[in-house]
Amino acid sequence: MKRDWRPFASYGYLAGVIGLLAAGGWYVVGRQFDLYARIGVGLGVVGLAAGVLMDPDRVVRALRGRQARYGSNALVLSLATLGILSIVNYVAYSNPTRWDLTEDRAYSLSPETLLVLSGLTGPVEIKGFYSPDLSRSRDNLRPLLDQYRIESGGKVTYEFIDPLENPLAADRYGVTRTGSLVVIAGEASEVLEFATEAEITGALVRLANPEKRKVYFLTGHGERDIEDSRDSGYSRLRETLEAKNYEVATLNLLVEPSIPEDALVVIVAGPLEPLSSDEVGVLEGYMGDGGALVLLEEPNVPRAPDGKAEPLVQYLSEGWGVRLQDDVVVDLSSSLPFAGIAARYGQHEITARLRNMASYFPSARSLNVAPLESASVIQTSLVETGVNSWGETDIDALVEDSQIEYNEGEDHLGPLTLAAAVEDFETRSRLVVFGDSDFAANGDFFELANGDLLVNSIDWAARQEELISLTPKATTQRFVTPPSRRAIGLIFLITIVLLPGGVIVIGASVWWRRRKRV
Amino acid sequence: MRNVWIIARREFRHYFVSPLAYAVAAMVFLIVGGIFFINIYFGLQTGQINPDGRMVMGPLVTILLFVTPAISMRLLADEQRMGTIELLLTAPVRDWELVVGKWLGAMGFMLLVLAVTWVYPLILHRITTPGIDQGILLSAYLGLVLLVGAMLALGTLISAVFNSPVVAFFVTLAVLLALWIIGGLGSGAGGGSELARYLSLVDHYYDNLYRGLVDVTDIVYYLSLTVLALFLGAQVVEARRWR
Repeated sequence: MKRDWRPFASYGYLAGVIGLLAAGGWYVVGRQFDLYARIGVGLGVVGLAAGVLMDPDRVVRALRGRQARYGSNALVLSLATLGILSIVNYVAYSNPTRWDLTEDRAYSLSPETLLVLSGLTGPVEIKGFYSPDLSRSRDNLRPLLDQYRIESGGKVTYEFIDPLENPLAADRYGVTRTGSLVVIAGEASEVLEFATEAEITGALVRLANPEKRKVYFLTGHGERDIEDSRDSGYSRLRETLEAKNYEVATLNLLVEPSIPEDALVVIVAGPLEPLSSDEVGVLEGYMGDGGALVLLEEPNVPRAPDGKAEPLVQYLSEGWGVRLQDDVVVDLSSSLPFAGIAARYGQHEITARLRNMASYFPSARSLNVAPLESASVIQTSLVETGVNSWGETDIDALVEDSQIEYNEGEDHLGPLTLAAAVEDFETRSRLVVFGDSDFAANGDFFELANGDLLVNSIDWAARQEELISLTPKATTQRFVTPPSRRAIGLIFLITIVLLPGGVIVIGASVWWRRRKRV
Repeated sequence: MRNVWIIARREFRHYFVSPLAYAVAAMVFLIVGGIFFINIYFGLQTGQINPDGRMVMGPLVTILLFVTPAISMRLLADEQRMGTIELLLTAPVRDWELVVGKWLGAMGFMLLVLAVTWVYPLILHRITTPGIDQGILLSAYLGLVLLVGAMLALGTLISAVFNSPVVAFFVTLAVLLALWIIGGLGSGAGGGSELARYLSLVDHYYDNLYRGLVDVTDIVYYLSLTVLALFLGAQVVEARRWR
């Protein structure tokens, strides 16, 4: 006699559902449709099939019954509604329109940016490398990037990548610090450390007009080697500059005594031998023609035997009012007395964005900045040490005695200037002088604001900031006048007593009246 | 359409004789008012009060997550429990009119509560020069209205499914929390993550509307959610006819 399987049909369905759910759970946990997941799905299907086979009538009744008819109708209608709404949502999602209601129009792009976006010829990708600890900055950035996406008609797209999860992508674009953006247009890309409208639009402009931006490092005097990746080398600076779309090359004025036409900036990084007067003459001509020079000079130890002033030192002092002192900076604000610590930054574009981070300069010499007669030359002291510092002129005593003390009249009392920027508005030339070159070597490049300081200086010398100047957005300053004691009492009365209390009183009276009536 | 208004008015009035509604409203005002006052008071001690009219809106959204299920839980579940649903279904009222009317009544009550919370930005505005950012406030409140509308619609739908308001409350709460958390799954880069981010109830609020950006996408999202929930609610009510 045939066994009656029908009661077991429910178990079949149950087993089927459990099997499918288990497989689903396994998949979510393991993220892989592996053997166990497959077994689960297989069991699930077998279970359901067994349930159907064991009691086929039940299925037929379910499919044909009144509930099924009405139910299927409702199901179809619901699915149709869901479908229509999904399409509507998708259309809205793909064609975003938004209105910025903030009084400061904080999320609207400036007209200059809109102009740049309208002139875009090809797609631009922006990748934001934000690690999870910076998720706040990342979320604050989204509306701005959305605006770029919307206003460019979708030509600008963006995505966020976690550099910790995906270090290969970070390396590919030369991203060294989390919280950076990379703007990619075709083959060229540029790394931005600051995600602001000005920076992004600036990058868009530069990528759209890819002219070579070449900077030259002087060689021939034992300067820092940009290919040297040891702690004392400058390879990290080179990599950072290349990630910012600069082309980096070397220059030897002893071999070829002329500065190439395309030199945006000439960088002299820690020469161990003095430059000859011929070389200085070439530099002078270059600067007189609207060039830009970034100079990093180490303390003058050991001193030149005849004590004659070097041509370069003389040129800087006479032509630019910046005199490199023959001293070694002693700074007692840290445990390393021979490292100058930046206590104060001057007001300048170079230092404006150092995020209040200090910088330090191992074995530095101080600068003396004296204004020139010419009114077209503006000098700014960039970095100053604190009061616990002085420039020790008695080098021999330092070496022999290893006893350091301030000698009035001989040594230069702090605060000392360690870096200065000068601009000649007549010749349109720019100069940045540092009394140290160690601070930006590979070993110290990523410490505090060291590397940023040099990179910003090169940017300024190359006139980066002139590419794009946006109409500044007015941020209304709002100030809350502290309320008087009476006012506070009134606020307390309203917010804590009257409002909730009033509601409770009304509610209680309503309740009481209902009770009375019933 | 007249039926919708009649039902809506009836529900709206019902809230004013319901102790639960008063308790809920009092609790909302007490908590939000407390937060507001503490912000002002301790802001004075530190000398810094943030002139942001949305001072209470962050906590308010979280409170609403728990409050809206309480307001919506009895809308249809009560009728089912008390047996009056049959009466309604035999009356010349269409199913969707019933559902929309109930939702509208609840919406009216919640709008009143939200309107009263306007007191806090108002007070802040009086003590701020030159005044708080009203554009942002407008956008944030618009978002709040849309958010509450969607949450109440979901609550109405769930209330129609169950016979017990208490069960409806907890299920609504669970659903809202699920829609809240689902945004967290969307931190990846793939299409599935993007969908998960899109479905998040609160991300649509905080990302744009809360910041002062009125984006059509967010409006469409909330309205779609409301329409879908009410539509499904009407289907569920109709299902009772042939259950």
